[in-house]
Amino acid sequence: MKNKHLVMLLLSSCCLAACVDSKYDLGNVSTDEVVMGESWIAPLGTGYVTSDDVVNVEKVPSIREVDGAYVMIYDGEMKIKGAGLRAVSDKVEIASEDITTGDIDGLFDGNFVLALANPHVTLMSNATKASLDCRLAIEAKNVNQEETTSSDFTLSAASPNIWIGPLDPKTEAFEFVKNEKLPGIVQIVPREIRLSLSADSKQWANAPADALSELRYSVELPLSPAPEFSAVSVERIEDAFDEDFVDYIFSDGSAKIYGEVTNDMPFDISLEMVIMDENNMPVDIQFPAQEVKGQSGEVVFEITKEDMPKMKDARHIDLNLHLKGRDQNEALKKGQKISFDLKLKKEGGISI
Amino acid sequence: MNTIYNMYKKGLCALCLLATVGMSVSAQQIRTSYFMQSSTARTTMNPAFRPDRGYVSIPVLGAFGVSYGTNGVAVNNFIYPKNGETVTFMDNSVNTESFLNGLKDENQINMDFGTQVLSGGWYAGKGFWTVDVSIKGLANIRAPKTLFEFMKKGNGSQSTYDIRNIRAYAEAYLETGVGYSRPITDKLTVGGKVKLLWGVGSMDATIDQMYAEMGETSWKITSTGTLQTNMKGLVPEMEVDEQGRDYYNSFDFDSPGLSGFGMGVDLGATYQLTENIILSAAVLDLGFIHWGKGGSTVGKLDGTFDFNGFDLAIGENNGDIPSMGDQFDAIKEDFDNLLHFKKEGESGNTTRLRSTINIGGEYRLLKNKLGIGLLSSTRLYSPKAYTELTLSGNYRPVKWFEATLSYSFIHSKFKTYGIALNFSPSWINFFIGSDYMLTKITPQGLPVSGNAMNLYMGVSVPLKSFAD
Repeated sequence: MKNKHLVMLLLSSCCLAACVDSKYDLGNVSTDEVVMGESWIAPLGTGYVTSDDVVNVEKVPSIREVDGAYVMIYDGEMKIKGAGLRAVSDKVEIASEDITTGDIDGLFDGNFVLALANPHVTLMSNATKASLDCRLAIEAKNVNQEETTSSDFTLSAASPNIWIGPLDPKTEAFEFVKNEKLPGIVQIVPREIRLSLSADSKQWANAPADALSELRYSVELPLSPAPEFSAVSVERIEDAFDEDFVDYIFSDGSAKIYGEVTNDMPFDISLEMVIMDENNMPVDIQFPAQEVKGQSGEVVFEITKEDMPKMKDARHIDLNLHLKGRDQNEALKKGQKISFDLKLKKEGGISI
Repeated sequence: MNTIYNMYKKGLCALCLLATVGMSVSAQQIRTSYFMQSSTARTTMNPAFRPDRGYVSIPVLGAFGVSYGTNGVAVNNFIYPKNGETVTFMDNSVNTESFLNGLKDENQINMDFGTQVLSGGWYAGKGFWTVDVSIKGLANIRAPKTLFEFMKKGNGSQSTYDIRNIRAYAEAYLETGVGYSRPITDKLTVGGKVKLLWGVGSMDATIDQMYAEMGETSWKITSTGTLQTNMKGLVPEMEVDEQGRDYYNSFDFDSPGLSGFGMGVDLGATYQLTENIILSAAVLDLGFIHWGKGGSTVGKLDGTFDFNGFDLAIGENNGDIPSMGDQFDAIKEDFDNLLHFKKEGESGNTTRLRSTINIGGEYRLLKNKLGIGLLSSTRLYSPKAYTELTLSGNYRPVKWFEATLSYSFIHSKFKTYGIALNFSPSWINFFIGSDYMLTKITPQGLPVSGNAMNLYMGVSVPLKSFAD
């Protein structure tokens, strides 16, 4: 009997020794919240915006390249009126020109302040047989505003070519006539500019008939922003967020897009990033604007854990470049770039 | 990234599959039964052992079992309960440091199986003969801690990973053996078994190195490794990568057959030192299998992944730049290439058997009703050997019943113990036992926190053939 009891005891211990723990059921493993790595850093991408993108070159026919720099130029010949004009005052208008400058309006997307450092007007004449005291009146108009300025100078054999503007070109080819109001004329973004050249009545009446027979004008607006300049250029990264990419990276945790922006252009930049959905509506994630002053700067855009669910609708990125002028007089040139070298830091792992 | 996902899923499935395989087939030996005199199964652990009577096993059930062992990791290192669910270590709720602290520098899981399809033993004069036909196999997988660090930490705090020696190995073969044991003197008995081995299949996939430099400006990952399979009927499905190279995408099974041939021997001896002390030693599975060229698959892993960021198509500069979706798909394909074994052709190869060395001693007292035994068992896995030291108490209250309790010092860690029972009335011999009684197991039968388990059972019919 003792042996039987012992056998039963041993058998029971065999059966009771193990218990099944269903909390460790390998056949029912949930992989819903599986993530790879808790923190990742990766190069996100590089790209650039050219000066051709920032300025709507194709919308402004008057833009030309001068020594690589963009300059809006309106030029032509002013027709000289006859010397027999009857003077009603001590000055008589001897030539005038109405210039249409409506294309300036398309220079940038949206509103902008066209504060240029060195807009100027040049006159090139064949005045060799007389000396004429002249005045060039410049009137600028747009729909709502009108601005005028004028400059006095002498056309003569010694100074047949005149340069009117705020900055001395420092060239012997022109006689420099300083006019600091000219940038203000341009700043209203005129649709029309009227040039009116007047001469001293007596000098004009006594001058030989061929004293001034040719007069060429050129209104030149180099895209050299002044400190008051401001404009916005909106550049889109179309389909920046692939559906798989969003699932992997932006479905949980938090993320930081950061990196360096290098800038060849003569603007300081305030950079806004707006993440848009497929219907071109913002996904409502607010990023503080990032300032890039000078040649380069660091930018950081953080997507918080709270904002991360909004990323499920993300499709495009709009980069709103708020361009601001600098103190230095630098010209915008063809081929200049604003380059982005962006990285991604992901906290909370990659969903797989 | 799909590759990561697939790797993860496949890895998890492989773990579960291997675990299931381990559970559904039988182990090579149960140390607890080493000193059980009436057990017919112990002849497999030392060919010099001789049961009291001859026997014929019940087909397939003659000796059937499984074994599972690791070098320290357990199921609960990789699987965690969470709010009524079961999640893996990759779940975001699992703390990285505590997970990694539970791992070894090299983590290895070994599984063995072996079942005697047919077997029998009988006395002829002083000799005892055995014949058997068995199916045996093993599987082991190995992964370094750095792999799990990479998977769990990412590159936020560590940008360089040198991951070496990821390996999955499995083989299965049919064994036919003839054994003979004979007393040489009154005290010394020797035995041996000669075995012919018929290879069913083998697979050896190794990633020798995966080196990753993953900074914020560029990612560069390289991988090297080899793949060798030998299995008739295993048909590789090929794909072509971007460089026009064939790589193995998956495998199909056609009509299976034998893929290799080999030989092996078991050698053993027992020595009665005193009236009460018996010493014994055995070397098992000394041998090899040569796997033929036919049905073989040889692959080489030589992948490179470079990523310097996407080309951002900003504004109007997007004429020649592919869409982000296309770029992302291309990167995923490049990443997949890291794990594509390129076709190298076919070749045969030779593998050695995983040998086992058993050394034991038993002290018998109370007229042999009680025995105390100590067994050292070393199994030579590749690349490491695993040793277990088992102390057992053997109780033989009546002739038809024998029971043993054991404790295995190296893998039990005071969490488990061994027990074996042998019933041998005149008409049947039934044996069941385990070296690691499980206190807590998964529904699939794996120990939750233990790092070893095995189960062994057998049924045979005794013959009227007695030892002299």
